[in-house]
Amino acid sequence: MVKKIHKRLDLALNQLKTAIMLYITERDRFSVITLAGAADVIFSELVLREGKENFADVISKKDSESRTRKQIGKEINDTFFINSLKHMDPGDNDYVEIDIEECALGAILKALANYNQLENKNEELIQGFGYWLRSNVDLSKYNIE
Amino acid sequence: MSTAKKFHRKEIVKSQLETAVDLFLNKIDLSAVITLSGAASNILYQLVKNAGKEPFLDYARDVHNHLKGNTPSREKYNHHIDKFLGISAHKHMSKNCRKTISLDLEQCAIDALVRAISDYVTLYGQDELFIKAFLSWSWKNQGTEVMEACKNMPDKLKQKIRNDNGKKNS
Repeated sequence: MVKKIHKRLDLALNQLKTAIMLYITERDRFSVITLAGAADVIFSELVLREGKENFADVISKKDSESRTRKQIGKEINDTFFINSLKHMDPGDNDYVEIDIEECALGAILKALANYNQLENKNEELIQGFGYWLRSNVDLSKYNIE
Repeated sequence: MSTAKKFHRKEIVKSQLETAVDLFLNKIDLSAVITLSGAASNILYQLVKNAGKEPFLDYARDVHNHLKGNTPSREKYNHHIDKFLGISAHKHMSKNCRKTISLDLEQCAIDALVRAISDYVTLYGQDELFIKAFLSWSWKNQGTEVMEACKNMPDKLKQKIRNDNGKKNS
């Protein structure tokens, strides 16, 4: 076993692919959320380095309360319980109440939204998951056609 | 209508750790193993503390004190371990971070799993199948190396382990 040089993009992409694999094979949703969340952090930064707006920026622009990218980012992460599945502070409740299916899908879609902005994205991954979604999920409840 | 349900942190930890072991033993994705093990470790630390037991991180800090004469702060040592195990590289990227990183992914995955599993076993024992599976793999593939490392460790560390085991068994 030796050290090798890895691109941060590849480390993130592998995690997103695994998250999608776990999701479509109906496996552990907590792992889906944690992996998609981790991948998304890296994608978000890489999008900014390409001089583009990331997902939190887009939402921030539409935000009526003029919150910052960081504030919006935290709110989205909290919505999908990303931090609750990888942190526990003293005094935290032993239980987490979560809609695990919605959060798993939401975490993947958020990561894909940022991944889709990148120059060297894998189009087949995005299209493949999109095709699977259309065949297996009622997208109308998310206002997606 | 929300279909939210309550899950105990143990269930959240177990699911992620079990998935990590499965991904590792089936050679699917080492990066995912590292991230999931890291997530499980963070929650397990607090669960072990809540149970009044000593988590891996605190034991590691104690070992550091035994060998170097000082106890690093919990936050600093946790950050150091996360960086050493490649956990940070898989879930953080600040504007100053490089786009590449040098890691031995397999070793990081193994070490991240060992750290998480040690706290899991402290709390819940080692009877569950996924724990047995990883411990079997570890014994088969690393047993010789671990025994050699134990044989070669500094005497004062050997004495500490004997003393700690003596306290546990008394």
